Amino acid sequence: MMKIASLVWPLLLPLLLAGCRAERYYGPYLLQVPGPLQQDSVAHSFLLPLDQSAIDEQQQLEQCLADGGEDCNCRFPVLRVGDFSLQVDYTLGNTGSSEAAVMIWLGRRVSDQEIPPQQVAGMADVELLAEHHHHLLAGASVRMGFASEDIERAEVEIATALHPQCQQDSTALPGLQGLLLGLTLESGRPGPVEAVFSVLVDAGGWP
Amino acid sequence: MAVRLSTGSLAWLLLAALAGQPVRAGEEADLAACDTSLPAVRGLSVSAGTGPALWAGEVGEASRPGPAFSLSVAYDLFDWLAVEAGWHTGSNDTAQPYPPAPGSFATQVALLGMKLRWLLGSWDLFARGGVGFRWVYPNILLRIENLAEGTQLAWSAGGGVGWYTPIRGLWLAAESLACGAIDGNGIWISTRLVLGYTFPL
Repeated sequence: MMKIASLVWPLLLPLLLAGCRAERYYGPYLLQVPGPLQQDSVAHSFLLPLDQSAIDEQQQLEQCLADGGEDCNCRFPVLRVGDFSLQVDYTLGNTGSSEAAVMIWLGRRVSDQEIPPQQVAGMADVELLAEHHHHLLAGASVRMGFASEDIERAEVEIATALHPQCQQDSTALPGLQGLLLGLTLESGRPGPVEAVFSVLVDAGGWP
Repeated sequence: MAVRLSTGSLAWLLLAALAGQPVRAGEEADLAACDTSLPAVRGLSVSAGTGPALWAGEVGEASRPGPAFSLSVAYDLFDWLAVEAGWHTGSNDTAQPYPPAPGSFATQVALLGMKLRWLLGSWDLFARGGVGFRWVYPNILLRIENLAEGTQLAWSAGGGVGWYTPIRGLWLAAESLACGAIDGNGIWISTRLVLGYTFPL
């Protein structure tokens, strides 16, 4: 029996561990342009999950900011760049009868004081993190995704720009607490074009 | 998918090959001492099994068959009745609309139950039932409700046929097990070849 156990266990262990990653899927979310109000750009807000330690840190950050403390975001980042690995998958389809040029994008909402370097048409308060451009024939669809490496790279760039005073490693810089998943028509007013998104949030390690 | 299936098949073949190993010269005397008139031994059993597993219903439409493994401990109260505890695990690839990108999910089941046995010489037929917990992870089947929201209370039912080898205490079985969640979606069905050993009372 020991001999058999020693043979079976190496096969069993990867299966067990594969099922124990701290990852969770969200969605599917549907976006359509032109939207109900005939906008060329629509977006869906996605907030990252906060555990109790992040909630505690959020309160400490708010207290620090209220007290006029220094480097509050560096000391209480709430979420760090390396806390989550994100992957966004999508299907984009042109359900209209004419060609459509479409941008599918990830972004973040900027504060009143910020002027985003790259704006989305019709959304002045959004900064782009990553974007894909598609030219879809009538009735065509495409399946793609934003890789976790690309999202993390964009997140590091933003964190470095927003918090130049922070001394920690890039993965420990204050990270995003939410994303915008967006869809923008780039040519005329064909359509409708619709996208279905899912988000994979991987906290790494064990659940 | 292909790798996982071949992994399961490999484990299955290993078990079958080990069970079919020829008796070595040094073991012949022991075999001669076996009481072949009593092939079934009552006692504490340990067993391990492997085989394919699939989901029935809505979950089955969104997933493919995959490999599964099991480990069990049983204690014979009578010749015809045993109590048992088992842990069953398996992996299935997804076959659902994109997104999310294709992936896999694991099913873990921990069960306590009873096994009814009908002895037929060196063979037996058995049926079993039990309750326990089922855990499906991660929640990649996004369009299916009540599947992967943490640990769920589960029931199980199954049966099979066993064969008591000439080596006293060592047995083989082919069995199936269905496991559903009391408040959840989908029934997980695994079929496997099991190799077990019973330590006599």
